[in-house]
Amino acid sequence: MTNFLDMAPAASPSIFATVNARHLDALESEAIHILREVAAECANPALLFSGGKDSVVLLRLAEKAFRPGKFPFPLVHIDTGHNFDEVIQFRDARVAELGERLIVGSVEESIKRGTVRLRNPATDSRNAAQAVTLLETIAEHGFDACIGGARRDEEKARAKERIFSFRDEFGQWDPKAQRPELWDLYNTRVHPGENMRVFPISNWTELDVWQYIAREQLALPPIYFAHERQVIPRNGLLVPLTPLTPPREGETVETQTVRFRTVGDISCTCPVQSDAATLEAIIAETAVTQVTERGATRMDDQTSEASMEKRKKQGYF
Amino acid sequence: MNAHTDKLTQHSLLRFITAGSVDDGKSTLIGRLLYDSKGIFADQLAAVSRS
Repeated sequence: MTNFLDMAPAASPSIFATVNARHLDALESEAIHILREVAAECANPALLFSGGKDSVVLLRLAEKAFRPGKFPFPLVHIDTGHNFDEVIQFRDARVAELGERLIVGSVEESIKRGTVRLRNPATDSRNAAQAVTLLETIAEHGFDACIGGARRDEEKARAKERIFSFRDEFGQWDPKAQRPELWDLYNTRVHPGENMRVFPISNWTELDVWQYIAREQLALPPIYFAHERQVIPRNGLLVPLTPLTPPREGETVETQTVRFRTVGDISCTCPVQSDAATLEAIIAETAVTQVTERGATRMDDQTSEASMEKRKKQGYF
Repeated sequence: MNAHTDKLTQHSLLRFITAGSVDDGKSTLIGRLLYDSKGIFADQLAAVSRS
């Protein structure tokens, strides 16, 4: 199982010598401070780990903040049941390697319980439904803080959110009633039933994340690197061919060399055309890309102007 | 290593602040500086142009 971690292509040694940008040290130190603040101030925190690149960075930061001790929080994955197999294998291998506890909240279970209702449960995107399962998992375990890998450059709703983001007893975010957050002073106070979402890498960009992954030599699920995949061109996106996303009438299936820039629910994440098979190549490509990470890849963010803000108000991370 | 990635490693942190009253143009100024320094992505610009 642990061999799986060696499968991710390694970057050439040259990149580790050159990726020493000083701003990465500043971002790292800010994130470690935030993680330790959560450990010090919150009674029962958790860290959201999906197996994606941002949460891989979070785990390394947690190692730096707390090793050689155990993490002062369990890892939590909100599993939509619609995943890329490589990502789940990677998640389990990484958790085993760290020796930490993983709690899985399952959207599938919420559907069976009837708390999540979808028009077509078999094929509809379950990304937004994750909010319900997340809130149920928070209530079940009594978490008062959930650490997540959201970044401000991902989406405009995230750009205006605080690092310590307060949620009321229904898990709702109110963008017009956010707490002041001056310098590195964080207000962590919540009443029973309310909770915090904490985003230690808020100020990182996609490029920072890739540079950090190269510098720290972090393993990733292989689908982040260029590979051949059957895709369906649709509305300017490349929809991966899966049992959940079959071609529609009149559409053609093509084999292209692609990689994923973000990894989420299988039914709403698209890869981009790329032959970047190493970290070095991905960094070079990220540095000159003209389209944002989600702009190129997410079907669910394109449904309306404020879809992320709406989801967050309903309890999404 | 190509020219782009070489440049990346030399980047340092820039701290920038705007102060002013409501509707003075703080965000507009920052937006313009980001645009001129090519810090805006094509899809972000398209979204702003649409609204």
